[in-house]
Amino acid sequence: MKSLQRTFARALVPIAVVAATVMAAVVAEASPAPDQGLHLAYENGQVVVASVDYGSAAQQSGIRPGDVVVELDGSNPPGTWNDDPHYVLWASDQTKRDLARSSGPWDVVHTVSPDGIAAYAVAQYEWAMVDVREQVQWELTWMDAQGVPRAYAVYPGALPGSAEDSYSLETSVPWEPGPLVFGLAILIVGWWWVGSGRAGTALRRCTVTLPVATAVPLLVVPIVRYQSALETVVGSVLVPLAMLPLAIDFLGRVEGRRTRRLVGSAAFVLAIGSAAASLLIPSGTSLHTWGAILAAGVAFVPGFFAARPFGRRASGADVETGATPWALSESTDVALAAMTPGIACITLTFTSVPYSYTVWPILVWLAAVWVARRFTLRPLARLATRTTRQRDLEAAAAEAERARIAANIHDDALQELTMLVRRLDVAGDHENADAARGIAARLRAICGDLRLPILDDLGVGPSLEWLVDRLDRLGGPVRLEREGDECRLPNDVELAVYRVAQEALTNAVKHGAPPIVVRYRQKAVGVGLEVDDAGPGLAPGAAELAEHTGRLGLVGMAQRAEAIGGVLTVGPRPGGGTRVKLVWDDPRAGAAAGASAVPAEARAMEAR
Amino acid sequence: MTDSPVPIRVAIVDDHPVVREGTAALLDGQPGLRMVGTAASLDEAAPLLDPSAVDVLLLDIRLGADSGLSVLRGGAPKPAIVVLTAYDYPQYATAALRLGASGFVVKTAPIAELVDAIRRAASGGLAFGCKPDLSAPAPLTRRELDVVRLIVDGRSNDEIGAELGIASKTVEAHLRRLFDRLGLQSRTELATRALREGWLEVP
Repeated sequence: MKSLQRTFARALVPIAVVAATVMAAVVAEASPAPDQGLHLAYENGQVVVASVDYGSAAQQSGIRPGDVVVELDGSNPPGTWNDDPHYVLWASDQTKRDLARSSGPWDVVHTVSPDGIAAYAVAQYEWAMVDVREQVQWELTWMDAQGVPRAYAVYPGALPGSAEDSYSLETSVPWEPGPLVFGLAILIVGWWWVGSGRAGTALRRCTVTLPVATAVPLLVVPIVRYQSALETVVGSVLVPLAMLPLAIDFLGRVEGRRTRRLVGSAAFVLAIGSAAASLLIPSGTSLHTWGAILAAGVAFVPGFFAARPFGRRASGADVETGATPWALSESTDVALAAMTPGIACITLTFTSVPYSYTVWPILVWLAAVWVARRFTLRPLARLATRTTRQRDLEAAAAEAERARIAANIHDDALQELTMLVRRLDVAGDHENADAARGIAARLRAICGDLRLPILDDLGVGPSLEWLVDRLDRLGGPVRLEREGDECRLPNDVELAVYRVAQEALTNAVKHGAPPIVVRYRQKAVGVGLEVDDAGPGLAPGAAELAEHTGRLGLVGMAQRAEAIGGVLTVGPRPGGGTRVKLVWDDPRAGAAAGASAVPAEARAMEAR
Repeated sequence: MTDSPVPIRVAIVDDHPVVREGTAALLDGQPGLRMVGTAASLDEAAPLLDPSAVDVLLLDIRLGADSGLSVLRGGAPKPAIVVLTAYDYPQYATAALRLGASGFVVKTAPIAELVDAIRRAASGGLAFGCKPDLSAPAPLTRRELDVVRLIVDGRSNDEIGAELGIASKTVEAHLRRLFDRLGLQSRTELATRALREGWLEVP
């Protein structure tokens, strides 16, 4: 079932969608424009150009939506048309006819044969000027955006219903390397770029789906440009259908079963919504703008959730860690990839502009992404990784040094001192023996600070007990709440958790106020540590300041957490004060963690 | 002072030569004690773990990179073990008690205390120079306590299941969870710990 789903998502659907799209686009590209592609409307007492079809004769002659018709066959619409019996207002139904009658001095004709009409309105425009004369040619003069009057010959033969007329305006549309060619280029280059890993390892799984989702919005442009019913249906369905496989690929990266299910449903609903919007809402553009926006959301919503670098996020935290530079860089890759099909959808929202312009947004976007990744993101990630590794090595070296010094004091000075105590005892010099015992106790304390032996022998829990006991005696009331298993964790994790607790407690004693509470919860699958105090809390922005001024406590804790792949949050405690929280999940979760000499199977045997 | 006709056979595991030999020399001079072996590492200590050759084993915790406590963890029969360490941390004492040590003596303690601990350990008693902290007993559910009580009686899973009216599979699951939670490895360890820490005395 799972592998079937994967095949479905990875190959079958995207390839089928793209193949259908390319074929339909090639056919559409090769077929001539069905009419001159001019749609007029009556607005605010003016006859205006409502829309112009892609590649149509009208578009080629420079008519743009919004242009105002100032003269028709030498007459000035609308006012003077009233006197000319040849011009009538044609409206599609009674309501609109009534409206028309009340809104102007129009002679309304109820039935108009489609034959011979000079201009027509598609259903979404309320009415248009209609010339009922059996005239071969008339001249349309209009004012363009700059206010320059321009003239254009309109042939009634170019209109629907009279397609058989031989003198239709079949101006040959000069071929432009429009969305079809750029779509194919994006498909092939994208497949190579993503598949070769140049777009980042996180996107490898989208090798097929990402280029398809990006290319299909361009490839459908030639299909939907004439806005016939069939074309609109095909185009409206193809675009969201091409986004879905990419959405499924992104879903694989989303953490949490609940979130995954929710986000998946959202993507599906968006896809349905996109198709519905394009089909049901009349529009002057290739697809309805809402259709394009919703289609963009199909890929973007799961991509956004897939890009989140953090498994969890604490609200109001001042310091948060949990991501390596590469993970962050991969998140950026996923986020950028999630936006790419949406940018491609912008092409679909353009009205009647020459082809090549419509592909600019996606081309500029791809170029920007390439430049940003090549010259900024990747080098930054490399730099940060190197710095992190060096920092961790230094921290490890410092730990090793402290452990070595502690071992030296323990093995050498402390043991000699032990024997000295014995000799003094045997000699009956109890006063000096006690003095030597005092020195031994101080040396032990130094060893404990350098590297607490309890941590190596007994793990974090007992070490925290020792630490809290000590602080309780030295610096005021500190309480420890412990729960969980007595299992052992990997050495580096134990050391990191202990050091974070040590630093947080030192801060709490120094800057905070009682009650200071340490909560430690240990399970085979991970640990959680919380250190609370009821002091004044961190000043706003203290965390950022720490990174700059080198107030190393906070930075050090964050480093420790990052080094073991844990999440550290430092923020306000509910009810006042500061809360430092460290969460570490065992990446081998499920397997019996810990340094137990007996494997889990052997224990299971013993339980029988 | 007990006048045992047979001297107590004592061995010591400590990686520091001065302490090892010094302690051995001091103890050898004590009446009723006889040093039968020394070891500087856990590897060398293997022959000293034979209860037929050694009565009381003095064990240091920090042994180079190893932890002496790992000796306590094994399930095989061992001599009575007195932990002898430079650290007077109650956490060590607690761990030693939980893992089945008979005594816990800090190295800087007077020699008499060590001799006393050895004698008590040899006679099956406990001697902790540093008080173990048992204030936080292992939290067990009622059902788990029932199971542990019957384990202490030496019953099998089937018998326990029949007694408590649950499936023996359920008993097994309870035990497995307890082993995981408490870091135990055998039923014997569980029974020993329950008795030592007095879990069953809880009303």
